[in-house]
Amino acid sequence: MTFITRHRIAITSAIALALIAATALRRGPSDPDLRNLSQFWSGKMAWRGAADCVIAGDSRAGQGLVPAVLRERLGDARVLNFAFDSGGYSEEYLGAIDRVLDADSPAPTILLALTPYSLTPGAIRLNEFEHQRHLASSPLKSALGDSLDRLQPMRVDRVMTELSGRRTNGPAKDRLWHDDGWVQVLRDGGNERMYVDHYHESFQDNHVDADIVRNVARHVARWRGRGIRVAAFRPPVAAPIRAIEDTCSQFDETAIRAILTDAGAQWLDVAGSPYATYDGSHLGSREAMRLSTEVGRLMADTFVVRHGTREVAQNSRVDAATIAD
Amino acid sequence: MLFNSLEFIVFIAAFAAVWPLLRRHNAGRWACLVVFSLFFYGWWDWRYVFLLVATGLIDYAGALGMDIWPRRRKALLIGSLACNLGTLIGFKYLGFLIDNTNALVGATGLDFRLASINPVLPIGISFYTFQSLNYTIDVYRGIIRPTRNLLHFFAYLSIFPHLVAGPIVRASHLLPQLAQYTHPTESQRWDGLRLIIYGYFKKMVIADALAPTVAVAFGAAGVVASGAYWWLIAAMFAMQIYGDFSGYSDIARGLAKWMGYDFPVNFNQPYLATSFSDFWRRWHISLSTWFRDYVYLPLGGSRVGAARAHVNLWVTMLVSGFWHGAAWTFVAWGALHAACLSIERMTDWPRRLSRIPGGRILSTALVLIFVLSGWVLFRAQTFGQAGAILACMFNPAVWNPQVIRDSIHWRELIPLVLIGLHHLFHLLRLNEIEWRLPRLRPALHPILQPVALATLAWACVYLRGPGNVFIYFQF
Repeated sequence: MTFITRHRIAITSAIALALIAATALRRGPSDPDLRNLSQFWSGKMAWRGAADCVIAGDSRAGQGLVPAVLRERLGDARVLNFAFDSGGYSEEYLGAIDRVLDADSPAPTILLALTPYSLTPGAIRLNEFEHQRHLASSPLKSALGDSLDRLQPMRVDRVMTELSGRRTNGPAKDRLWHDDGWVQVLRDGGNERMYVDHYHESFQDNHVDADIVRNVARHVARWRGRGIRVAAFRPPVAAPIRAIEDTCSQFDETAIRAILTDAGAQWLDVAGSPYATYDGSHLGSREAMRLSTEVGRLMADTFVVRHGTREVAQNSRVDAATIAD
Repeated sequence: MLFNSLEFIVFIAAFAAVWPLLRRHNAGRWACLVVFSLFFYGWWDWRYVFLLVATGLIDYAGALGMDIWPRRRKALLIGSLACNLGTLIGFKYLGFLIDNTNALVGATGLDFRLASINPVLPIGISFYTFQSLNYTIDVYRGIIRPTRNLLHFFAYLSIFPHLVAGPIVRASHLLPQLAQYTHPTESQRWDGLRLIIYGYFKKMVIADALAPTVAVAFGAAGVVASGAYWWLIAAMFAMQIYGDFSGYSDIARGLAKWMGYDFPVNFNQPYLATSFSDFWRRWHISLSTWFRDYVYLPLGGSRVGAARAHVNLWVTMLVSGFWHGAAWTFVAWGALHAACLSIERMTDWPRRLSRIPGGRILSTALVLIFVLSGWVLFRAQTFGQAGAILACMFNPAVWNPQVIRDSIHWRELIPLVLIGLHHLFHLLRLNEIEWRLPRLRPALHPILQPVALATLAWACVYLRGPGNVFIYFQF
């Protein structure tokens, strides 16, 4: 029996560990995307008392609402995008939204992006916010956070490229994660049809839940009681996606709108379909800018008109600036 | 706890630290196994540990009672069966039974409706229930003597490598192994390491990478009208479920080898079967033999005349289908295999076909075609969906191969190609050849296997797919 045969278990383990470690080390510095992504979500989770206006919702809000644009429209208010992928309005998430607001803000504002999926039990169970909560509550994963990122899987066709530290010919990534919570998607087109074909799946045995809607309304009323202004809207999607949502999700926009406005929210009528999506429901950065401009304008108009100039004058630099517009 | 989770790495490291200290003494070894196994199981939901312990206690006491009061053996066996099957029915089938009863009563026009319930299915309940049943039945039959030590029994019932997804290890096989400690040899540990790495590779690189494409195909609202697409999806699901389940079995067997125990082989290249009976001798062997020994043979097997033998075969396969899930599609899957086995038994076609040149390959292909069709029933959400997919698969008019190009990226096919090549390798018996690199010095040849295994381990980390949970957990 040769030395190699005698020690083959140790040799195999050593080679495997060496390969994995070498890949992790080689990969780490050349792949800032992974680190950015991890820090992006954990950074959002850590926001406390940092904003005048906080955006809540799922990935449609996360990609479609640009805090910098809203800030312009809202008179230099500090805006943060607190949306999470596959986001659902769970009790924990609703409880976390107002913690992002600065208690001393002159005009604290919450903007709720309400998609049908975000009001379903499926979204409550499984979403990026819950995942991040789980990570935050797992000392093991928190401790290993950065190291674990280096062990993220790679696409087969990018293995050699990543290991050599070179970039692919095409764009190596199609999104950027901004410090203010916006996910900028660097594409405008896409195979919209394919996404539409499979969109029904989201609502198989998973419909808008009346209890979840009522809970959102309960929080809205609580926020309003504390002087926080609340606006809500339904993010625009492609017409086929909207048709699926209207038929399959049991999302009754009129009823939900009435429940939330009764609770004190202001409903923003965003144009339903003229936005070009890359997958039927998400906006690339150019369209996100356009949507943010419209939402910002609607928010400014709504709060000025509905609340009147006296309140505005007392309230905020946000609305004061809007008046100046 | 999942084998492919960070928690499991910590868990197994802790076990590896404690095990050498306790393994030499029976009580310490059994206690170590029981405590770690219950922790492993309870990680998912600690409340269900009580269910596992309660059903285990009933079987332990029942088997002991059979030894003490031989005249009451039958009553004690019936009691044990009732408890085990009652628990299984309660958690797994009650909702299904109520829904079907309501549908049946509704069809008669009566205004009566039972309240629907949908209890959470305890992970692995079908596996540990069968493992426990096997113990009491074998004690009743006098095949084994009951163990008087509670820890010994629970070490057998709950030993973590195979607790939630098999293989189902017979009491006659495992209890004697657990009764004494045998230090694993280097060869056993090497085999164990190979099995563990192969298992993880099958699960994480093959099955998990195939999972999203299969999920998208079967989750779509409509059925894509393309026979080529659905044959490809059926093949992908076949390899996904094989990689997932045989991967779990391999990891379980590998871990057992490191502990000094031997679990039986559970899969043996099932898609290379040359007949349906051959398929069931290769697929989920521990379950097939369980059904053979505890359902088929007690019904009379094939010793009771040809007609009764077919009935027994059908009963066994339908029960096997139902074991996999509380849905009629699973029963239909069992029925399809029963029909294929019955026809095979009546015509003996695989043996006849094997006489002509290329006949064995042809029979392998025929079996594979029906097995893939069966997986459509197994995976489909409804009969309607399964029917529509099968109609596409067997209708040349809607072959439409361009759908594949439009909807499946070439990257998604890599795992299928890999496992296809693996099967071809075995089909052509290339695995029986001792491979040597001509330019490598003979002294360095032993390094090839460690390098290959280490590369597979690397692939498990960096080329793993996005899937996670093992499919067979739900059974």
